[in-house]
Amino acid sequence: MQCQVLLFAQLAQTIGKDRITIELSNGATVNEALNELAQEHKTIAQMRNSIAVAINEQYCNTNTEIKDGDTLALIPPVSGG
Amino acid sequence: MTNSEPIIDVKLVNHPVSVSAIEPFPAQAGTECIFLGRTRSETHPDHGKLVRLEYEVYTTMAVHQLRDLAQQSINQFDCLAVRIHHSLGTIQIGEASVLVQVACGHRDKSFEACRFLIDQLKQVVPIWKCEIWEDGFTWSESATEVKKGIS
Repeated sequence: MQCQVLLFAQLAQTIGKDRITIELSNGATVNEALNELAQEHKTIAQMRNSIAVAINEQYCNTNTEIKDGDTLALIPPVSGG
Repeated sequence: MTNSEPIIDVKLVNHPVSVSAIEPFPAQAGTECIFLGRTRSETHPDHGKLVRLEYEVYTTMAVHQLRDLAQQSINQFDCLAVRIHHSLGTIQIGEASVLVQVACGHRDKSFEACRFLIDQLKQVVPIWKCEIWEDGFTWSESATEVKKGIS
């Protein structure tokens, strides 16, 4: 299944895109998606431990299963206010 | 004045935020607490003086998160009105980028609710501050890793 991944802040700036599409097997978890993304993008590998993940605008944990059509977002450390 | 449901006013704006009256003002609210976050002048050891800030936001998720926080403050502190406004884009030195404004029956809960909201905003809402210096830029070095939902 294809999965859209939204990027923000330093991730988007370094990678040069605000979204990436990746191919995942059915039943893949967030952790597996991160593995795939980290292999392709050094910045994601480097920041992996500090990135939170949201699926369809809800924070989730790395064991969460991704469903077809889900939108992932990689959330670097936040700095609002 | 009104005795109706608590007011929630959450907004992302393309300009500095400012304070305005909550209307209609809840009849049972005896207190109002207002927090404004402004951009202060700073100097970076490597990049010189701060020129301005640029805010990036995951807008749809940020609005949902801010509404959730507003509802939490209503549940936890009996707020009768909650307003949270945050700027997108460019903010100059001295300008305000975040407004938290709450109305409660009494002052203890007003102060607590206001503090809760700005503290939580800074910890969980997907907003990022890019600091533009005289010589270079940094993504805020005081950024907070979101702990929610992580295992």
